[in-house]
Amino acid sequence: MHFSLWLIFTILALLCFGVVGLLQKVSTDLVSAESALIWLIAGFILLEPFLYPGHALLDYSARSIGFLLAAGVMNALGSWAVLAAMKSGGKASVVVPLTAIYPIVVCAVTPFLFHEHITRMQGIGIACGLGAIFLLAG
Amino acid sequence: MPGIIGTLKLRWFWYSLLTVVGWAAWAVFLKIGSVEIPSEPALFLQTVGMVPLAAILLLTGSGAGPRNKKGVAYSLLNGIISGIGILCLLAAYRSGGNTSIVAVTSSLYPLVTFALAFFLLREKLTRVQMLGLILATASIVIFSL
Repeated sequence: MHFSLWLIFTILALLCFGVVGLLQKVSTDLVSAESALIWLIAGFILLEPFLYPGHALLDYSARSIGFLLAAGVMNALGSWAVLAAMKSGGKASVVVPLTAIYPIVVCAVTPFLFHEHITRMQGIGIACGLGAIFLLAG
Repeated sequence: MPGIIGTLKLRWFWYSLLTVVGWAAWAVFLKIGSVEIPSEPALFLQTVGMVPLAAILLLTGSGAGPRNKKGVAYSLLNGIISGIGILCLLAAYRSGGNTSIVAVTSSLYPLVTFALAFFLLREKLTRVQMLGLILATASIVIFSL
Protein backbone atom coordinates (compact mmCIF):
# COMPACT_ATOMS: atom_id res chain seq x y z
CA MET A 1 0.00 0.00 0.00
CA HIS A 2 1.43 3.35 -1.03
CA PHE A 3 0.59 6.60 0.72
CA SER A 4 1.49 9.87 -0.94
CA LEU A 5 3.52 12.30 1.13
CA TRP A 6 0.82 14.97 0.85
CA LEU A 7 -1.80 12.54 2.18
CA ILE A 8 0.36 11.68 5.18
CA PHE A 9 0.82 15.40 5.95
CA THR A 10 -2.92 16.02 5.51
CA ILE A 11 -3.85 13.21 7.91
CA LEU A 12 -1.24 14.46 10.39
CA ALA A 13 -2.79 17.96 10.20
CA LEU A 14 -6.26 16.48 10.72
CA LEU A 15 -5.09 14.52 13.77
CA CYS A 16 -3.20 17.52 15.20
CA PHE A 17 -6.24 19.83 14.96
CA GLY A 18 -8.48 17.10 16.39
CA VAL A 19 -6.16 16.50 19.35
CA VAL A 20 -5.95 20.26 19.96
CA GLY A 21 -9.72 20.33 20.63
CA LEU A 22 -9.28 17.68 23.30
CA LEU A 23 -6.24 19.43 24.82
CA GLN A 24 -8.24 22.67 25.07
CA LYS A 25 -10.74 20.85 27.25
CA VAL A 26 -8.34 18.89 29.47
CA SER A 27 -6.07 21.90 30.01
CA THR A 28 -8.91 24.18 31.12
CA ASP A 29 -10.10 21.48 33.52
CA LEU A 30 -6.82 22.08 35.36
CA VAL A 31 -5.83 25.74 34.82
CA SER A 32 -7.64 29.01 34.02
CA ALA A 33 -8.43 29.95 30.42
CA GLU A 34 -5.97 32.86 30.72
CA SER A 35 -3.16 30.66 31.99
CA ALA A 36 -3.92 28.09 29.27
CA LEU A 37 -3.71 30.85 26.65
CA ILE A 38 -0.32 32.08 27.91
CA TRP A 39 1.13 28.57 27.65
CA LEU A 40 -0.57 27.96 24.30
CA ILE A 41 1.16 31.06 22.93
CA ALA A 42 4.43 29.85 24.49
CA GLY A 43 3.97 26.62 22.54
CA PHE A 44 3.47 28.58 19.32
CA ILE A 45 6.61 30.61 20.06
CA LEU A 46 8.68 27.42 20.34
CA LEU A 47 8.00 26.85 16.64
CA GLU A 48 9.05 30.37 15.61
CA PRO A 49 12.68 29.40 14.79
CA PHE A 50 11.33 27.05 12.11
CA LEU A 51 9.29 29.86 10.55
CA TYR A 52 11.69 32.79 10.89
CA PRO A 53 12.29 34.12 7.37
CA GLY A 54 15.47 36.08 8.20
CA HIS A 55 16.15 39.44 6.61
CA ALA A 56 13.37 38.86 4.04
CA LEU A 57 11.01 40.03 6.76
CA LEU A 58 12.23 43.60 6.23
CA ASP A 59 11.31 43.50 2.54
CA TYR A 60 7.57 43.23 3.11
CA SER A 61 5.26 46.24 3.26
CA ALA A 62 4.24 47.67 6.64
CA ARG A 63 0.59 47.23 5.61
CA SER A 64 0.88 43.47 5.12
CA ILE A 65 2.94 43.06 8.29
CA GLY A 66 0.36 45.12 10.19
CA PHE A 67 -2.51 42.92 8.99
CA LEU A 68 -0.65 39.75 9.98
CA LEU A 69 0.14 41.12 13.44
CA ALA A 70 -3.55 42.08 13.78
CA ALA A 71 -4.43 38.52 12.67
CA GLY A 72 -2.32 37.25 15.56
CA VAL A 73 -4.17 39.50 18.02
CA MET A 74 -7.53 38.18 16.78
CA ASN A 75 -6.28 34.58 16.84
CA ALA A 76 -5.22 35.07 20.46
CA LEU A 77 -8.62 36.59 21.29
CA GLY A 78 -10.44 33.70 19.59
CA SER A 79 -8.21 31.16 21.31
CA TRP A 80 -8.85 32.76 24.70
CA ALA A 81 -12.62 32.68 24.05
CA VAL A 82 -12.59 28.99 23.05
CA LEU A 83 -10.61 28.15 26.19
CA ALA A 84 -13.05 30.23 28.26
CA ALA A 85 -15.95 28.34 26.64
CA MET A 86 -14.39 25.02 27.66
CA LYS A 87 -13.62 26.36 31.15
CA SER A 88 -17.26 27.50 31.51
CA GLY A 89 -18.48 23.95 31.05
CA GLY A 90 -18.77 23.65 27.27
CA LYS A 91 -18.19 20.12 25.99
CA ALA A 92 -15.25 19.69 23.61
CA SER A 93 -17.51 17.74 21.24
CA VAL A 94 -19.94 20.70 21.05
CA VAL A 95 -17.62 23.73 21.31
CA VAL A 96 -15.13 22.49 18.68
CA PRO A 97 -17.66 22.01 15.83
CA LEU A 98 -19.50 25.17 16.89
CA THR A 99 -16.35 27.31 16.70
CA ALA A 100 -15.13 25.58 13.52
CA ILE A 101 -17.91 27.24 11.52
CA TYR A 102 -16.23 30.66 11.69
CA PRO A 103 -15.88 30.67 7.87
CA ILE A 104 -19.58 31.58 7.66
CA VAL A 105 -18.74 34.98 9.19
CA VAL A 106 -15.83 35.33 6.77
CA CYS A 107 -18.18 34.50 3.92
CA ALA A 108 -20.74 37.01 5.16
CA VAL A 109 -18.26 39.91 5.27
CA THR A 110 -16.18 39.19 2.14
CA PRO A 111 -18.75 40.69 -0.28
CA PHE A 112 -18.30 44.01 1.54
CA LEU A 113 -14.54 43.80 2.01
CA PHE A 114 -13.31 42.14 -1.17
CA HIS A 115 -16.31 42.65 -3.48
CA GLU A 116 -16.63 38.88 -3.86
CA HIS A 117 -20.01 37.25 -4.46
CA ILE A 118 -21.47 34.49 -2.32
CA THR A 119 -21.99 31.43 -4.51
CA ARG A 120 -25.03 29.18 -4.17
CA MET A 121 -22.81 26.50 -2.61
CA GLN A 122 -21.50 28.98 -0.02
CA GLY A 123 -25.11 29.97 0.68
CA ILE A 124 -25.85 26.32 1.48
CA GLY A 125 -22.75 26.28 3.69
CA ILE A 126 -24.02 29.34 5.60
CA ALA A 127 -27.44 27.70 6.05
CA CYS A 128 -25.80 24.49 7.33
CA GLY A 129 -23.61 26.52 9.70
CA LEU A 130 -26.54 28.48 11.12
CA GLY A 131 -28.53 25.26 11.50
CA ALA A 132 -25.57 23.71 13.29
CA ILE A 133 -25.41 26.60 15.80
CA PHE A 134 -29.11 26.12 16.54
CA LEU A 135 -28.84 22.34 16.93
CA LEU A 136 -25.58 22.27 18.89
CA ALA A 137 -27.09 24.77 21.34
CA GLY A 138 -30.10 22.49 21.81
CA MET B 1 -30.00 19.23 28.78
CA PRO B 2 -30.96 22.93 29.10
CA GLY B 3 -32.53 23.31 25.63
CA ILE B 4 -31.81 26.23 23.32
CA ILE B 5 -33.35 28.91 25.57
CA GLY B 6 -31.38 27.58 28.53
CA THR B 7 -28.21 27.40 26.47
CA LEU B 8 -28.55 31.09 25.55
CA LYS B 9 -28.04 31.80 29.25
CA LEU B 10 -24.85 29.74 29.42
CA ARG B 11 -21.50 31.47 29.15
CA TRP B 12 -19.80 28.75 27.10
CA PHE B 13 -22.21 29.39 24.23
CA TRP B 14 -21.42 33.12 24.06
CA TYR B 15 -17.69 32.49 24.45
CA SER B 16 -17.98 30.07 21.51
CA LEU B 17 -19.65 32.76 19.39
CA LEU B 18 -16.92 35.22 20.41
CA THR B 19 -14.41 32.64 19.16
CA VAL B 20 -16.26 32.50 15.83
CA VAL B 21 -15.98 36.31 15.51
CA GLY B 22 -12.32 36.38 16.61
CA TRP B 23 -11.24 33.61 14.25
CA ALA B 24 -13.26 35.09 11.38
CA ALA B 25 -11.38 38.39 11.83
CA TRP B 26 -8.14 36.37 12.06
CA ALA B 27 -8.95 34.65 8.73
CA VAL B 28 -9.79 37.96 7.01
CA PHE B 29 -6.62 39.71 8.25
CA LEU B 30 -4.55 36.66 7.34
CA LYS B 31 -6.02 36.68 3.84
CA ILE B 32 -5.18 40.36 3.35
CA GLY B 33 -1.67 40.04 4.81
CA SER B 34 -0.89 36.83 2.92
CA VAL B 35 -1.43 38.40 -0.49
CA GLU B 36 2.13 39.71 -0.34
CA ILE B 37 3.75 37.53 2.33
CA PRO B 38 4.23 33.72 1.88
CA SER B 39 2.68 31.31 4.40
CA GLU B 40 5.61 30.61 6.69
CA PRO B 41 6.69 34.23 7.31
CA ALA B 42 2.97 35.02 7.61
CA LEU B 43 2.62 32.43 10.38
CA PHE B 44 5.76 33.81 12.03
CA LEU B 45 4.22 37.30 12.07
CA GLN B 46 0.77 36.20 13.23
CA THR B 47 2.40 34.37 16.16
CA VAL B 48 4.26 37.57 17.05
CA GLY B 49 0.86 39.26 17.02
CA MET B 50 -0.38 36.80 19.67
CA VAL B 51 2.33 37.79 22.13
CA PRO B 52 0.87 41.16 23.33
CA LEU B 53 -2.24 39.46 24.75
CA ALA B 54 -0.07 36.94 26.61
CA ALA B 55 2.08 39.85 27.88
CA ILE B 56 -1.00 41.76 29.08
CA LEU B 57 -2.31 38.66 30.89
CA LEU B 58 1.09 38.14 32.51
CA LEU B 59 1.52 41.79 33.54
CA THR B 60 -1.99 42.11 34.96
CA GLY B 61 -1.70 38.80 36.76
CA SER B 62 -4.79 37.46 34.97
CA GLY B 63 -2.90 34.35 34.00
CA ALA B 64 -2.04 33.63 37.60
CA GLY B 65 -3.93 31.03 39.55
CA PRO B 66 -3.38 27.53 40.73
CA ARG B 67 -0.30 26.16 38.96
CA ASN B 68 -1.00 22.69 37.77
CA LYS B 69 1.89 21.00 36.00
CA LYS B 70 -0.39 18.79 33.91
CA GLY B 71 -2.55 21.77 32.94
CA VAL B 72 0.52 23.76 31.90
CA ALA B 73 1.89 20.80 29.93
CA TYR B 74 -1.43 20.28 28.12
CA SER B 75 -1.62 24.00 27.29
CA LEU B 76 1.95 24.08 26.01
CA LEU B 77 1.26 20.97 23.92
CA ASN B 78 -1.88 22.69 22.65
CA GLY B 79 0.24 25.48 21.13
CA ILE B 80 2.96 23.15 19.82
CA ILE B 81 0.50 20.72 18.22
CA SER B 82 -1.54 23.59 16.71
CA GLY B 83 1.65 24.93 15.13
CA ILE B 84 2.72 21.47 13.92
CA GLY B 85 -0.75 20.98 12.44
CA ILE B 86 -0.42 24.22 10.48
CA LEU B 87 3.09 23.24 9.31
CA CYS B 88 1.78 19.81 8.20
CA LEU B 89 -1.00 21.53 6.28
CA LEU B 90 1.51 23.78 4.51
CA ALA B 91 3.71 20.74 3.80
CA ALA B 92 0.70 18.89 2.33
CA TYR B 93 0.05 21.76 -0.08
CA ARG B 94 3.73 21.93 -1.00
CA SER B 95 3.97 18.15 -1.55
CA GLY B 96 1.58 18.33 -4.46
CA GLY B 97 -1.67 17.64 -2.67
CA ASN B 98 -4.87 18.68 -4.40
CA THR B 99 -5.91 21.89 -2.66
CA SER B 100 -9.56 20.89 -2.31
CA ILE B 101 -8.85 17.41 -0.98
CA VAL B 102 -6.28 18.68 1.52
CA ALA B 103 -8.60 21.48 2.69
CA VAL B 104 -11.67 19.25 3.01
CA THR B 105 -9.85 16.38 4.73
CA SER B 106 -8.09 18.60 7.26
CA SER B 107 -11.31 20.50 7.99
CA LEU B 108 -12.91 17.35 9.37
CA TYR B 109 -10.99 17.77 12.63
CA PRO B 110 -14.14 18.30 14.79
CA LEU B 111 -14.97 14.65 14.11
CA VAL B 112 -11.57 13.62 15.50
CA THR B 113 -12.17 15.77 18.58
CA PHE B 114 -15.64 14.27 18.95
CA ALA B 115 -14.26 10.71 18.77
CA LEU B 116 -11.50 11.50 21.27
CA ALA B 117 -13.91 13.26 23.64
CA PHE B 118 -16.32 10.33 23.38
CA PHE B 119 -13.73 7.68 24.20
CA LEU B 120 -11.42 9.58 26.57
CA LEU B 121 -13.71 12.09 28.31
CA ARG B 122 -16.92 10.05 28.06
CA GLU B 123 -18.71 13.04 26.52
CA LYS B 124 -22.06 12.23 24.96
CA LEU B 125 -24.20 14.24 22.57
CA THR B 126 -27.97 14.27 22.27
CA ARG B 127 -29.49 13.27 18.92
CA VAL B 128 -30.15 16.94 18.16
CA GLN B 129 -26.53 17.88 18.92
CA MET B 130 -25.35 14.93 16.81
CA LEU B 131 -27.36 16.34 13.92
CA GLY B 132 -25.74 19.72 14.66
CA LEU B 133 -22.30 18.10 14.48
CA ILE B 134 -23.18 16.63 11.07
CA LEU B 135 -24.50 20.00 9.82
CA ALA B 136 -21.42 21.82 11.14
CA THR B 137 -19.19 19.29 9.39
CA ALA B 138 -21.15 19.75 6.15
CA SER B 139 -20.81 23.53 6.48
CA ILE B 140 -17.06 23.31 7.10
CA VAL B 141 -16.56 20.97 4.15
CA ILE B 142 -18.54 23.28 1.84
CA PHE B 143 -16.44 26.28 2.85
CA SER B 144 -13.19 24.43 2.38
CA LEU B 145 -14.07 23.44 -1.21
